[in-house]
Amino acid sequence: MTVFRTVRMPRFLRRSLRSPRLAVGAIGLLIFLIVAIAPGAFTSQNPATQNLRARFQPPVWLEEGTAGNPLGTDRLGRDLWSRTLYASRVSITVGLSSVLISGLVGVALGVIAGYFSGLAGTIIMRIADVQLGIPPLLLVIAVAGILGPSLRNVIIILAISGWVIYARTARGLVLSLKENDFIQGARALGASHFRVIVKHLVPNILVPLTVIASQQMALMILRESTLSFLGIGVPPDIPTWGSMIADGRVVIEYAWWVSAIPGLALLTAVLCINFLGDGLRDVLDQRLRM
Amino acid sequence: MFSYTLRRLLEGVFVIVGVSVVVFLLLHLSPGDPAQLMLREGASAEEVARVRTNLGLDRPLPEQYGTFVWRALQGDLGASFHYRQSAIEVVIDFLPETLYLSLAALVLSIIVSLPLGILSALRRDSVWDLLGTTFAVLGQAMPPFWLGIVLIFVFAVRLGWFPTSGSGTFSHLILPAVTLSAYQTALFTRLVRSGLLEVLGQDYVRTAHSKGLHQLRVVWKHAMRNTLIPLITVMGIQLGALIAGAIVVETVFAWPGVGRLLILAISSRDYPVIQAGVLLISVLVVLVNIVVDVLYAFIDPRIAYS
Repeated sequence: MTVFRTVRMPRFLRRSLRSPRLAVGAIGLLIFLIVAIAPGAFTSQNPATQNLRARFQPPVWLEEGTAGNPLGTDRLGRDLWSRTLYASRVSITVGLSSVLISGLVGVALGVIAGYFSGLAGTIIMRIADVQLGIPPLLLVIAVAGILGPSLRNVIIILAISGWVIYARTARGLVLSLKENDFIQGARALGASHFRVIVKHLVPNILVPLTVIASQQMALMILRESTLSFLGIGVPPDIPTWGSMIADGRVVIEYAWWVSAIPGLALLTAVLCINFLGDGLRDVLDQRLRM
Repeated sequence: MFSYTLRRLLEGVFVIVGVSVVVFLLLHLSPGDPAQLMLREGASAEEVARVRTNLGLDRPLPEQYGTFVWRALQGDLGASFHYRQSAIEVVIDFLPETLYLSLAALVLSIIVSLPLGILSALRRDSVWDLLGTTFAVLGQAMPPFWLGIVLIFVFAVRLGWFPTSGSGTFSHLILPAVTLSAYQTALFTRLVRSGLLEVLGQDYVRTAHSKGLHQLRVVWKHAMRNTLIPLITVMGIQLGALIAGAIVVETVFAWPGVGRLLILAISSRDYPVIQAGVLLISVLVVLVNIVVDVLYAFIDPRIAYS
């Protein structure tokens, strides 16, 4: 006799399907990830090749536009479609790595501050207070400006600008969790502090922190593009949406597409990630709903 | 109340001390020798050494920090390399333009977000609601520097309604203020909408309705009061964010404020001006936040601070 069992999707997947924003955001981000990993698969043009005879070519749908440069060219005749594709690399790399670093550091510090609420915890939270008092953008611009353009510096600076929110959230969650019976029980059974933290605390605080991480990624990408726009982010020979927009600022009066196209890419990326974050929040954690 | 104010002030002092450490360290982050930077290219080793001694750069770091704070308290952060004038004075000269722009953006975002938020809450799922929520989603994802360029293209280059950049007249203010306020307008619209929706479902609002009061009166006199109180804190905090956001917007519109000054100082490596700019803006933001917190305690009678 065959026993039929209703095949049920995992709860997470079922709920995700009910959130169109999550689906749109996840698919959008996936596309950006694929482009960032293999931009060359979507264009045959080299983003750095200059062609001074084809400067400021308009996009293909305008008069004088050509299919060779579907989104037009910039002041050095470089192809905007391939530049926009390649520029996604910097945004995605900086976004992912700065979120990863600030998340790991922030969560670690927050868990320590919440679990061992002693002197170390007080010092950590005081530093967080100081950092919250300074507008993050101001600090990021000043430090990046003084250090000079570099991909590594941008990631480090953005990671430092982002740890506080993870630390504060993690600390708050740990403070309320650690009074629970299962934590006390684990301790009573002889589990070490390390084991309690890794096995019992961290898994229970990951959901809200994931939501924050996705929202932070959009913010980090915006900050990176702001730095590149100001010319103090990534070195100028690497195409970024921010520096492409800055290039277009000067020629806005006769070649609007030079800044419009990278700007649309940036806006779309940030929108997708925001959708993903909002969708995750709705699906994973009702309490965080605004 | 008094003790609460005092505690907030003490916390503020603590934050400002932290800020001063960061600002002090900014100079030491620089890849080159600050003494070298103050001299022209090809200065002799003796000259560099003399400037180092004059600047106190040969002293131990804690001692340098002590001197830095002592001088900062007297309003002295060194002379600007570029303007040949006290760095703090230079920043203070540029500050009014930044405050003017930030306040204009704050006022604008309140004027737009209140009616939009109220309309989307009252006419839920209507065109207004769609407009309000779309606006909120877009506004929070829009890179301000790009929005500025788009606005310049549409309203200055194509339509010719406003000047492309600069300052001086009221029409110079419109585009930068709209650009700077976009994020905050989106945020406030969302908060007004969700706050109002929450309050509208409560018993006392239903009672007010059942007494036969006019819809507008219920919203304004009963519902909005409780929605506005938490908003005031957010708006205060956002004034700080606006002042910082002005750095970027000023650069796009060539607006002569501290933000543009700071970017120019960065490109010319004018360290005293960078330090003075970061310090003054941070202190200003800390002060604004304290004032807002204390005001909040005054306005909301339900909150008792111990």
